Amino acid sequence: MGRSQLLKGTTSLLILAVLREGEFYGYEIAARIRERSGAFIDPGEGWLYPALHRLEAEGALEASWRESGIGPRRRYYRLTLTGRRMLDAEASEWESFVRSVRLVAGGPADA
Amino acid sequence: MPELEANDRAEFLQRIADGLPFDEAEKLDILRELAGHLADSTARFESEGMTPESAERAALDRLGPPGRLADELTSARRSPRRLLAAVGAGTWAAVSGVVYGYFFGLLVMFAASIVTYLLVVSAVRLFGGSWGSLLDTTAMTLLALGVGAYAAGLKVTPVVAARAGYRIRTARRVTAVLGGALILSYALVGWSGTLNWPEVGILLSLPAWFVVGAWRATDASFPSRQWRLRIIGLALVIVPLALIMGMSAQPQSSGSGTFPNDVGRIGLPIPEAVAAAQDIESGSAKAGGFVWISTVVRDPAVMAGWRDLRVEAWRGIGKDGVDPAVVPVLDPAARGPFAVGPAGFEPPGQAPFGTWSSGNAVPDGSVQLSGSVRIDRSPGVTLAWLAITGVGPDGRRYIINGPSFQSTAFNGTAWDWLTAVIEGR
Repeated sequence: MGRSQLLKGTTSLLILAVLREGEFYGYEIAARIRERSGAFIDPGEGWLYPALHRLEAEGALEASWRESGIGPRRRYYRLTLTGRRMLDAEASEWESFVRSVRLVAGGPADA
Repeated sequence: MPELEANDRAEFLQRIADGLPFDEAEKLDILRELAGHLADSTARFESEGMTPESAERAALDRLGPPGRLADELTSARRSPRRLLAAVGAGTWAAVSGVVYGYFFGLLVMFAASIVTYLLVVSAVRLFGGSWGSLLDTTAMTLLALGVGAYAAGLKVTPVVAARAGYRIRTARRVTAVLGGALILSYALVGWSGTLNWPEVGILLSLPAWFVVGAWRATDASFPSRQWRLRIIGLALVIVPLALIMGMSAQPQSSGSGTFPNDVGRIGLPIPEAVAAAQDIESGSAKAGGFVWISTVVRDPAVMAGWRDLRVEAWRGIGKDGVDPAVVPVLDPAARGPFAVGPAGFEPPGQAPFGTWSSGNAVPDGSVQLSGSVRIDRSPGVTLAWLAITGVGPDGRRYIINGPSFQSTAFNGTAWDWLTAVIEGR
């Protein structure tokens, strides 16, 4: 399975996880995902903005325009209560999924 | 077919803008965000040693084809909340469109009718003849409503499309069908008043005005100069034609007038004994489309054995094609009454709206024979001959009172009109 396909199923989780740490704008979110994954997750940003806007439409995120310190104003995203609940649910689901895959693949479940 | 890549940042953003169905403010919000992202991404690649051109190319490539990104952004931003907002904004746009178009239409109708008036007055002075009522306000109002419906269609579709996040060609299918159905319901049963054939036609065309507006809607600013000019042009043709074709109000008249021709078709002349026993006083009244007529019978005994007493309304026309109000006669083509109502005996002085008296003395023991009939629900009838009739002891129908005539005009909804036409009233 390609990385881009893996990414599709985890987009929301990745974004919500980054935003748990604070308010960031789109480019910053992509950069943090890239850095944290050791550049393993770096497929381009075409997926990022549709995902951000979808999460915003679902009420998981709120956005506001603010000065960024560098360059022009940026659109900052932050988690809402709904977003935090969604993050907990997706993280838990992801853990279960990884554990199950490891069990099937033969590795230790809690590695 | 794979999408061609954008040559530079400006083209990329323009193609994103072209692919987004939202309003300008929302588009700008999205474009500013993407432009910021491209600036950051380009700066990063430049800092890694790329030339500015290569860095911008790389930044664009990482966002993918602009058309696909616009589509994905569009579907991502759709939500039930947006649909609700679209319903609200669409309703407001429809209302404001109707109001704007209606008053604009009235203004145009007024101007067009002045033009017609000047033309007709000039023609009458030059060639002779006469000119009746200048304006039929119902027709004018309905035509202005048509303009309002068209304006509403033009305005509501782009608003709904932008709020819901759909392209205009998708949104117009919904707005045209829903709006058309709503306006059709209003045209059929919502509007009620005096109507004639042209007015029923205009009323039933209201959904079409809206659908045409909704179908022709673009995201251009509203209202455009182009469609204003078209409406003015259309009104300058339709209004004079409609006025000249006789959409004038019917003159109102009532009375007993000339005894109608061929009255035998209504019934046999009143028997001597019955005639002698009545006519102390008789009366009529008209309210809400109903006509009530009555006569006082001094000696009720003469009516013993009479049955099937009723008020009949027969279609009247003008003799030799003249105005029915001038020389009214019974329509030779009428095969029977177009409307019938029950008649019966009651104490003298009773009326549908209280009591009445002509001032004549009514002897003790008298009874009043009266009844009412609705005469404003028959398309094409502008004058009604009215009579109280009954079947005498010999089994034949006689005219007991009347006939007298009343002017009338159809009054009801388009649905009432269509029903009446189907039922042959």
